[in-house]
Amino acid sequence: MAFQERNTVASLTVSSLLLAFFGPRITTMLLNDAFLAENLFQLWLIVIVGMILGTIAVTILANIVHGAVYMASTQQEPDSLEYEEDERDQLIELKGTRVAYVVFSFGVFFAMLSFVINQSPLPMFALLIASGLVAQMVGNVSRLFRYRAGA
Amino acid sequence: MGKGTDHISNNIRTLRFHRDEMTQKELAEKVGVTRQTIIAIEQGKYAPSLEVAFRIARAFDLNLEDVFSYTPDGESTLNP
Repeated sequence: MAFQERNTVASLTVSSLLLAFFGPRITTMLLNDAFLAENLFQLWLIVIVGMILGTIAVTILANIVHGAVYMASTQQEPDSLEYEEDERDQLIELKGTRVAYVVFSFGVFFAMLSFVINQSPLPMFALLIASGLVAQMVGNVSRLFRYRAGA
Repeated sequence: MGKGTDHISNNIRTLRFHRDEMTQKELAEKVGVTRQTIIAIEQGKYAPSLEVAFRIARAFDLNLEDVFSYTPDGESTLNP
């Protein structure tokens, strides 16, 4: 697995974990009448900080483990060229980002729709963060697919 | 890029073989791309940019058309 592919898997893992954390929390809030601004923005903070720090930590960890396994099995250091991004990586990154934008724009549409049906701003914020996580996941799945398919 | 890759073929595998079994890694280093990109190009799954195509041809000291070939739609039926 190439460097960029590993980073994509790391990001996908973090966004999946965060979505698995976010979904039940929102459901619990709704069931217990605790769907309040304070709780929701606390969840927002956890998701955003978790996304940034989690992705960095998992990416570093994945590359350290890969480097250690590679050195142990081949007795050589990993090739420095493998850590660089070439035109194919950039193309796959761009296509994945485009897919993520499309998914996120649907999320934004539904978030705005909640205003049309006279909902409070809270469902909009919940939909925005959920669609952001889903968009990140779909974009990463699309990148992984393209890494396997060619470009 | 990427689209129409079934019309663009290459003989990189053969050329590597005739260059003392040059490895994909060695070619990748010469061209300045990753080994995964060379694999994708060789398998016809990815059509490289013109610049990378020229760099691959230069790595073998050949012209572009000695490495890559393009078959337009329906040419095989017109010229059997």
